[in-house]
Amino acid sequence: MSVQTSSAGDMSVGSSMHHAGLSRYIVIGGVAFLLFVAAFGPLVAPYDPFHNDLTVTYQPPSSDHWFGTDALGRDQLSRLVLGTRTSLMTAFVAVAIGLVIGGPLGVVAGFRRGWIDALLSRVIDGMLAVPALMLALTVIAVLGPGLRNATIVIGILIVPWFFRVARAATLDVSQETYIDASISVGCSKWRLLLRHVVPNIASPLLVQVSLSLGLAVIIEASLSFLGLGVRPPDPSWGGMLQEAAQRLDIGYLIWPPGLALVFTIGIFTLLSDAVRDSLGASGGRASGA
Amino acid sequence: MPELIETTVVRTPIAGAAMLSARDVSVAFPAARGGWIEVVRSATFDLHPGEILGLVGESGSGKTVTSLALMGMFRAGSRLTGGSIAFDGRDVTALDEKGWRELRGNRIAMVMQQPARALNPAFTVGRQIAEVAGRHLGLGRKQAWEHAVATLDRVHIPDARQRAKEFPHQFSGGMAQRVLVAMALACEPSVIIADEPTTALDVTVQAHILQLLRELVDDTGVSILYITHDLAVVAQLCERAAVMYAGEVVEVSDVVDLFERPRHPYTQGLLDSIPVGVEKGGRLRGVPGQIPSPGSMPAGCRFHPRCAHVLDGPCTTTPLELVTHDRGADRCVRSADLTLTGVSRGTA
Repeated sequence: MSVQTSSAGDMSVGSSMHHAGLSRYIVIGGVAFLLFVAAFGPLVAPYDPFHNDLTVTYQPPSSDHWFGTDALGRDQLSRLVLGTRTSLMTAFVAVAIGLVIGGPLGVVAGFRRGWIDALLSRVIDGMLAVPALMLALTVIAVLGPGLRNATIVIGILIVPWFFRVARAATLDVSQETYIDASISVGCSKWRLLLRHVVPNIASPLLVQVSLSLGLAVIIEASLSFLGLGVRPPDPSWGGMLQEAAQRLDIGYLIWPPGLALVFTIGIFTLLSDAVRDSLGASGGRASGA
Repeated sequence: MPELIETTVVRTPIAGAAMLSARDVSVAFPAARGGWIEVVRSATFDLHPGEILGLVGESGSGKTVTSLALMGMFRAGSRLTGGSIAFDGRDVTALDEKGWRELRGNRIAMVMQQPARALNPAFTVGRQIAEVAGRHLGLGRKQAWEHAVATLDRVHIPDARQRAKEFPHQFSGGMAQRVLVAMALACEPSVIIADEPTTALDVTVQAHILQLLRELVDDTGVSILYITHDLAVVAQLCERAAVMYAGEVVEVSDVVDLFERPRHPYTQGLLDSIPVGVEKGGRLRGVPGQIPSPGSMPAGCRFHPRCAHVLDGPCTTTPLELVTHDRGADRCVRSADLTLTGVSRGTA
């Protein structure tokens, strides 16, 4: 996917082309930055994020502690960096769970229709009818708190979205003439599904993956904020917000995790836009070479 | 397209067993409020070896449903409610899905309308053809690819080896239709069902595709069932034609007879609708009224509310059956005593 930089773009649709190019760089840069921080951040973090030092509690930002210190004198920057890894790992695993469960169920529902579709769709509607946080609280009440269970819960919460996208896309593709054409050359049902349906619903699912990553980050932060996700003393953005909420008079505690969340969710949203544009505009999947 | 008509030789159908034959084929769809709605009733016709049979009718007359039934394909929960289908002398009416899969693409192939949408956008055209060839002919990967290239070459796609590696969106409508013909041809089928293959194409491209089909019939002896609503195409391409109206075959005949001496009033109505010899500002005669919708078919002859020759009683009480006569078959009680005016085949 190369970025078109021909001069023709400047003539008629110059500004919008320029805008599209710019936001693409922001997305690539942002995602690369997040991945880098998640992968290598803890190695280069200035302090041990677990190290308590009660002589330097509630330090405002300084050259020693760029983002200040918290109630136990721990370095906020180091905790934020380790929190990034937790957030992204949770998001990726949860989205994978959502995709692996919701995707195939949606494809089966859309492809077979009939009672299977009716049954699955009602179950999914039921899941969506319950507020996400309530569903999460219920499941965690059963499974018990902790990051692993929180990840599973987030995955379950995302399942309906993948189900819906996969089902709708499969319904669309099933109406396509090339499906009938495949049947008319003797294609079996399984082959039809795997070779002709699945490759053609990949783009909307990919868009949903990047959208869901942002969603998963929010839910993880919410659960950790409530103390149901990451448990102290392990650092997480939600947990840091919770600690900051105890001392709203100290502004610098709440800004770093808050901005980190806003930044991450924004990047994933832009990513989904970029994915949609590049796959949708040019019949993308076909010209991958 | 007068040039094409002049170069097309009219062939008499080869006598002998039919390649594909439909006998009283009826197809019904599930109704929204329960029960079944019969969309095709008692369709009967034969497709002989090496001929092109036109299946003509308006949109919604059941042409496509009939042709899909001939391949054992039933859309949207529809099913065969009567009649029998024979392929190459063998009754295939009760064939199971596995049996049909062996025939489809292999012995009976289909060319769909809307070529741009009948190809899977996710794979190269060569791969899609190779897949069909590989499966039915038992070819290896490399052989199947070579076969695909050769088949593309055979439908006159220039630079076939290179173009086989391209994706469907890189093909124009006419070239994509050639690809579909190639895919249908890949396993040397005995029958090709072409469902309005040129409807989405402009007229010059249409002429090329028709020429290609004619050439294939002459070279390979394949039989083609050509579905269309365009009588001009029937006139230049087909030896015989079956006319469908409201889910019924109303007339089967040699094309020359069909045009010059139609026996069913509906056929005559279709011929009258051809805009030839009408003065500027004059009106086409056409057929008054509208095609009835499935589920609310008139009693008796389905065409009687629109027919100028209707007789109270014979035409309006009991459903009519297709009656065979010396030159073909028709579904009209008055066909023997009516003399309907046709048109010269060339004018279409």
